[in-house]
Amino acid sequence: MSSKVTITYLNRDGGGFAERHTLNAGTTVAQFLETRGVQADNCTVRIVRTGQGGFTPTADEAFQEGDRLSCVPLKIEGAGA
Amino acid sequence: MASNGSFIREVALSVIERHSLSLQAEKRHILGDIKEAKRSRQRREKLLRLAREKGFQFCLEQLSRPGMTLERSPYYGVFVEYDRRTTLEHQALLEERLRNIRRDIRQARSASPEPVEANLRGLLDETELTSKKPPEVQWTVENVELEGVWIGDLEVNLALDEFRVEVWNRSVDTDDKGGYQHPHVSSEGAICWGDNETAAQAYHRAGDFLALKDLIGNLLHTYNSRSPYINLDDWVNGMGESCYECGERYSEDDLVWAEDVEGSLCESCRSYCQRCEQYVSYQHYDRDFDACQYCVEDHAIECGGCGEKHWEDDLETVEIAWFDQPSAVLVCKDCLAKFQEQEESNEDLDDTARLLASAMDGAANGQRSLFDGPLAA
Repeated sequence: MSSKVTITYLNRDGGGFAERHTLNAGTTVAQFLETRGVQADNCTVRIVRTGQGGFTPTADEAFQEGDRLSCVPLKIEGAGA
Repeated sequence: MASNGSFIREVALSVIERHSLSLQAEKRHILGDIKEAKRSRQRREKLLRLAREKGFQFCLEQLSRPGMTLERSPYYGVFVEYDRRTTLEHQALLEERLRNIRRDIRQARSASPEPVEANLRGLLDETELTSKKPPEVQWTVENVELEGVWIGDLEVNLALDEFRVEVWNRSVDTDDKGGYQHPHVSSEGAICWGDNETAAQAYHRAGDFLALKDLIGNLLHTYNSRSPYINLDDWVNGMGESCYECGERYSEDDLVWAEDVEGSLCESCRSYCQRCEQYVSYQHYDRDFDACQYCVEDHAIECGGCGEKHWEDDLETVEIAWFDQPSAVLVCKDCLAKFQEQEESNEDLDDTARLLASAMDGAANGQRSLFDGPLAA
């Protein structure tokens, strides 16, 4: 088993563009978000996993190879006038 | 299930192809920007060289500052201007963008359709497929409430082959809300994304439909009081009705129905015609007559003397000789007075002529026509 996993992180600060990250195997969602300075309470966090579709992970969910992680802030201000 | 699987694979491949094409287009755009920036830098270097050679001290001082260049305008002549494209920072930014886009293209080329397929599978679990060709899904964001105000259940329709999102309020009658489906959704169902459009489009382009779904849901649950289509007070109390002419919204009490436009008009856009006792649009009101155009058309007639229009009630009939035949003509008060004055003058002349004629032997015939008034001419 590889000691590294590569995930794709949809970076909200980068305008929705994807970043690839190679992480140590067993890295959890909470650990990763902490390194990115993202507060999970303020976001809708979702992992899309091949063969499994999309799901909301728990904080201690460990990443798997090819996971696609998105963190969309709860407060998204639209406009109008 | 098999057909669903092939459908998902088909959509995933088209998403990847579309993504790849858009990245290529972006790369061409960046290369164009790089060429343009290079031309700007070369032009600035040439100007600097010329200024040095000719000893133009002022130009040299101005051009020595980073980003400053010379421009020419037909109005202002030659002037010094800051051109970001000539700076090293701009060059570095473009090069970084090019590196990133090349990396994205490489990734897209080697990308497996599986992540997009996983996204689609997840999306289809959470939404309803309403059309396969073109692929479209629908879901409902239920019980949306913004700052204690109930907005309703919102139906979201998302096209997967192009960036098209429509949102419709399925709970409330939006007629008195200007048709707006939500404070940040237009009457045509279009979301006003604010600063989030780039992210929404990026999610869609890359096939990250679940992230886009989350973004749409969170946007619909957020109220931005600085820039709504309709504020929450108006959402609760209604925006009233819009004036047919100016389109501004007013409460029903401030609007009056006007038959001529078959619509309601605000105070500024309507006029009251005393003659027919009806409100009409200000565009159909004749200020000279102080009445509506329709009354003027029906009841104003041209004066037979001056040709100006007057109310038919204000005209008088006079008899004049027309080709030696008596004829009735409607004239205004001014023309009537002139006519009567002329008639009196003609009568005086007739008397004088008769006196002269009687004094002359057998010369009384043929004098009358010399003194006919202008109306009888």
